[in-house]
Amino acid sequence: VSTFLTYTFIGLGLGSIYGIFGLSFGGIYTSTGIVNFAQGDFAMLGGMISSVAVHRWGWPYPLGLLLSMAAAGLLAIVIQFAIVEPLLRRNAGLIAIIIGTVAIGLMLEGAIGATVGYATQPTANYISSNAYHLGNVVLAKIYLVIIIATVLLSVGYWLFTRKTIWGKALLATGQDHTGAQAIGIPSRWVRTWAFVLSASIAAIAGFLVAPLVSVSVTEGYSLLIYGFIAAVVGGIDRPYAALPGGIIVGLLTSYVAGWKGDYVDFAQVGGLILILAVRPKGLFGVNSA
Amino acid sequence: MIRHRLVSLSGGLGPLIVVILAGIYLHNYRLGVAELILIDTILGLGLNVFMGLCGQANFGVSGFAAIGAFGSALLETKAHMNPLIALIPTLIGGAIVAYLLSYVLLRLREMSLAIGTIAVALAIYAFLQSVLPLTWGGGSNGLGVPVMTINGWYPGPRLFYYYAAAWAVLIYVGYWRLERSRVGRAWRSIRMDEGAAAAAGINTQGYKRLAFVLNSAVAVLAGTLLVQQSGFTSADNFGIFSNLTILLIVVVGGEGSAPGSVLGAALLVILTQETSTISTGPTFIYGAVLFVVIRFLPRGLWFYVTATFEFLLRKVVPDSLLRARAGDAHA
Repeated sequence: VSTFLTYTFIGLGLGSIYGIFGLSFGGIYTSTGIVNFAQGDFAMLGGMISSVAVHRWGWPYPLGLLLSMAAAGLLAIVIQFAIVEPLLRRNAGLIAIIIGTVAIGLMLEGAIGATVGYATQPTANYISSNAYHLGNVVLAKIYLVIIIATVLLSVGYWLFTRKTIWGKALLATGQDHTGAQAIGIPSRWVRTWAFVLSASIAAIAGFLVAPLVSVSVTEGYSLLIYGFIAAVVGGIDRPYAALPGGIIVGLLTSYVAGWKGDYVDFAQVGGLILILAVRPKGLFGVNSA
Repeated sequence: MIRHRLVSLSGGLGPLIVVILAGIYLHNYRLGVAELILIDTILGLGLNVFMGLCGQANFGVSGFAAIGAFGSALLETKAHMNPLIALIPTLIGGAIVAYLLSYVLLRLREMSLAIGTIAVALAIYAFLQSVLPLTWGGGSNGLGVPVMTINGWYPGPRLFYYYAAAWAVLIYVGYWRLERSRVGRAWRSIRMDEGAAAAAGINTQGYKRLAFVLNSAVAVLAGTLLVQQSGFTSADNFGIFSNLTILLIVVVGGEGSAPGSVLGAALLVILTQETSTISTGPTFIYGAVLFVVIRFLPRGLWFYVTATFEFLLRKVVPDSLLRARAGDAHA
């Protein structure tokens, strides 16, 4: 039982990371209807830049995190103005816009690889690696921090979209772009804002997960995939659904890893395909199609 | 009319003929580059059926190429089949997998379809990486296959080259025929407006399924060629980055354009080979090329190549002659 509880706890921690990352798709998806394939690179920036700031420049962790969030935000603005806005104005298809975001992500990876290096970077261990023991149940501190951060972030995001005028404008733009413009919402600025917000959340996720994974230029891919899985399992139409979606995936991953490590990847994507087959809009999505 | 069609086919075949002729005079390493261009052309043409003609997102082509590579490699090494015979069960198996998956995938649209196809490619990748090695070997260590021969007779490395070229021409002409057939028109109507196509009585699910199965089967074929070309296959060859290359071929060459696929494949293979020694690797350059094409050349390179050619033609050839030719085409 104690082993089971330990794995449950790890699963919750992993699931929270997937969930935050899935949530970070939400801002962009709800305001523009596209899934940003450079999202993994925002997270990569979160891990890489905080690592460089802390280990090469000797900055304190919070400053490193802030810097990486700013960098991700800046990149988000670049993507928004270099690709998304021009293509939306041209009425290009969604596929073209996806590929455009991929293009920027690749250029960024090349640039970071050339300047910082492709090798794995020392991680910003913002928290000691020891654990609490409750009887035989092992609770690693890092997962505890991640879970708390996830709760704070999602509550903050919820308050933002429900209680502030900018948050409401974001939802309105997503629901009806023309209608939102007609009542005077500057939809282009709202979209930019949504991009920056999503990028910062993704950078936080990248920073939080850094001690658990190896931080390198290609780190973004695995996070991107987990984020996708969380968002799709939960239901891509609803940003918050990524949280329970992520936790389900995290628990599954943790249990399968505890049982037979070789099958983890296969179980994750296999489960995703199963859910797509049964409920194409996700477990908590609105099944209209 | 028939004459006009032949003219347009031969004009469109131009890039492919250039690649094939070039291969005849190339040796060793450069011959390998030409072979890769032919295989990538086949992959691009396959994806162009589903993405270019039918307008659906498919980010999972590499999964089916992996099925082709591992399927034929296993049949050749474990069952000691001739590559040509191993091709048949591999193709049929891949097509069945694609057919079954299409019932899941084609319920999805646009974004969800893009993600669903990625999931399929990842599932196949994860299977090859972690589950398959437990029983059959492979995974990251890979599988080797013997060099292609004709019943034990080995005429030289050019044998495989002609084999690949024959497939490229076959797929190319097949694509060209399909594009101009009833099926091709149905696909294009789905691309433009799926709802309207359905309202006009087109079985949209059926045609989409056909396009997906064709796309996947062609990818399986290309996978079997890939394993013959290098004599070796590893799960690492079919990661998420390989999908990107296939996607790039279609986007750079021009969605729905067969000569564009050849052009895109040639450009990307050469680019990859030339940049693999630079420290930034192909990543940045891939990204930059993709960005320029998506942002500034949305119709793909082939369109701009022919447009430039036509523009120059107008400068040289007397106007009256061109008008007569245009009238001919409409008649």
